[in-house]
Amino acid sequence: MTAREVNCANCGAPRRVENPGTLMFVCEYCGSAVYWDEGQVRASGQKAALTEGFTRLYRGASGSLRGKRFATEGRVRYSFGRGFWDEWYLRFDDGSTAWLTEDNHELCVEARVAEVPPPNGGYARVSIRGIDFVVEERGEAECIGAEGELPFVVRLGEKYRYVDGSSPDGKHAVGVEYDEDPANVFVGDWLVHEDIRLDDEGEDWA
Amino acid sequence: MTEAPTTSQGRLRPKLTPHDVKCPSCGGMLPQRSDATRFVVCRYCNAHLELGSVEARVLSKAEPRQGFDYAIDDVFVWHGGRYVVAARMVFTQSDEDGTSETVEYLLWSPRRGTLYLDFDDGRWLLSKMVHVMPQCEDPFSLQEGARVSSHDGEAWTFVESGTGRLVYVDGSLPWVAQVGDRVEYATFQSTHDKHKFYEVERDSGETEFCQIRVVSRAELHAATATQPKRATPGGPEAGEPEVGGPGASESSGTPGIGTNENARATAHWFLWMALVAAAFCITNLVLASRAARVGRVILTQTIPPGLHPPPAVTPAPPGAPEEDPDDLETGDDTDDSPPDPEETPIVGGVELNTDTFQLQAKSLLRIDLAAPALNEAWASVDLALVYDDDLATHILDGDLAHYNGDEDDAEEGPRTDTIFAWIEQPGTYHFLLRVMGGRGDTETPGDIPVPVTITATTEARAPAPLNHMAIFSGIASALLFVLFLIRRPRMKEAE
Repeated sequence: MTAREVNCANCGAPRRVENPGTLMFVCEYCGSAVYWDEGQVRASGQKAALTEGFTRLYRGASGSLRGKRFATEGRVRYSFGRGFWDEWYLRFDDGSTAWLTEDNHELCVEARVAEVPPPNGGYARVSIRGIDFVVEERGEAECIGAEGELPFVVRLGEKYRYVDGSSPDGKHAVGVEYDEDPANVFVGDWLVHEDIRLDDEGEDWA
Repeated sequence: MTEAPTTSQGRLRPKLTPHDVKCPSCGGMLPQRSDATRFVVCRYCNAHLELGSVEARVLSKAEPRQGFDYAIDDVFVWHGGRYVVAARMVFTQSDEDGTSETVEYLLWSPRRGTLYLDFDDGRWLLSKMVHVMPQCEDPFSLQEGARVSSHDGEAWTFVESGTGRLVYVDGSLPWVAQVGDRVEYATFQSTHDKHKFYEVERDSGETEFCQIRVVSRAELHAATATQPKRATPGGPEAGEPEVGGPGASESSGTPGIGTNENARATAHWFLWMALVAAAFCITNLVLASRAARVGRVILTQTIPPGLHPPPAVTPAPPGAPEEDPDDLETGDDTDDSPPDPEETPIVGGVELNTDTFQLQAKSLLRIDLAAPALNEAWASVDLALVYDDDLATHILDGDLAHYNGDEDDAEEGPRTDTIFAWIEQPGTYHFLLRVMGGRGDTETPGDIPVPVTITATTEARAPAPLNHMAIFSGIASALLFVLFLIRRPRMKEAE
């Protein structure tokens, strides 16, 4: 793994980026969204900072997910109109990555399954990798903030349609994001509180 | 240089620092429980606020509602996790049976998420969201009693479906709630545990699934360390945040809620126990009254006065055997035993045998003596219950006396008396009576002044134990009511 030393294009603050897949980070000093464009580090001109401390996960948190060590590299927050949810970008010891959704403290870990053709937006059931899923929610998401390092460039205010579902037994989850064509499909598992152990859980109550 | 996260050593958790939101309606500062909070009801002016990224926006205003069992910020502990009441909602449900109301408390934990505590149809229900689905196409169109399995292997019976409408909300929520929001629901009950439920809910864009269990008041008590109460509708509510206006204390707290509840519960307990004791008293009185009438009359005989002239009172000669009027054993007129020096010899009156009657074994005989015309006089009846014409099995006596008081003409003394005798041996019996009396203050026994009626009833019931219980419970009822009256001011103070 090759670490990169970069500086914020807005305020010049130094940053060490270890994940080669990182395409964007949010400067923790000035809150600017910074991205790579043809080898150049550029500021998007947008403030993307999010408040911290209200979620179970946090940027830089380390711990284990079902016994597998991970570190939390970044977060993107989306609004679905009536509320928010967070997508945490995790990097595991073996170099693999995953997205962990925290929606009102309900946790779900998902990974992209690019080889599966996404269903259209009107479906109620879909089968992916032998697992049947049923749609529970559909709506429009708007990116309203980000922090840390991310594997793609976040554009604040960007909107896209999404569909979320679960396997009927409640164990597996699917998310389809219509932000590209074809859509991105993510499949994973619902987690219970005990599935994640953070090195610093903090107090149960602030 | 900023340290990038590593899996071996992560960054320390950033401090959770709640910040305030300023109500655009009244200027009150409201603590923001979470950065995911999207909706807050101002605790000062009841404005419904939608929280944006920069500022809050007033959606509407509502009248505050009283009568909740729990206040905003009340704390629950479930399975080691600490939750606070973040919001309170009231839904009305309309179904084929009519309209009902459910009070829902959103319990929030900064680490564990949310639980929902509902008071519905007289029960407390604790629910959590799951993603387990029912094995049916449309759970909202099932017939009552339909059996459905969920995909986790549980079996359920369809109970009802309907539509819930939000009619009240306060506190803060991670979504924007508006009065009038509707949600469809389909409720199922476990086939093997009547305290477990499963619900499917659906609104315009989302379907959710809940596992629900009934929680007892003891569980709630343990979770909150306060006893839940059903407050009087429209009445004041313990633990409610004080109406302090902008800048007042943000913490509602619940000081004294347990004390207040105890005062109320204690006063109510005394009142209820007084009512129970009064009911017990009345029941025993009724039973005693019935017992006094139970039985079969086998003898009614009236002894008129003047049957026998009263003999003169003559002292017995020294050394001569003295007749003991209490010694009524028949067939033996002589008594060689020495006279009892403590006993005053009683002479005079009428001695006679009544008609015979049959008595059964193991039965209770009630003997009623009555002299309704007795006035300013007394009468005494010594009686022997004689078996088979020659064996006195019971020696009994009854006293009647009736006098008018000197000052306000108050009457004193009974004109009736009741005696009981337990019969062991069946057979033919009669009474041997000695009846005597006197007028005025005379203590010298003579002829009875008025007729005396003796009535014998077999297979009777003794009302005395019931009377004693009635008296005891009556006294207890009075004492408990007095204690309630003593406690009532404290209860009103608590309310």
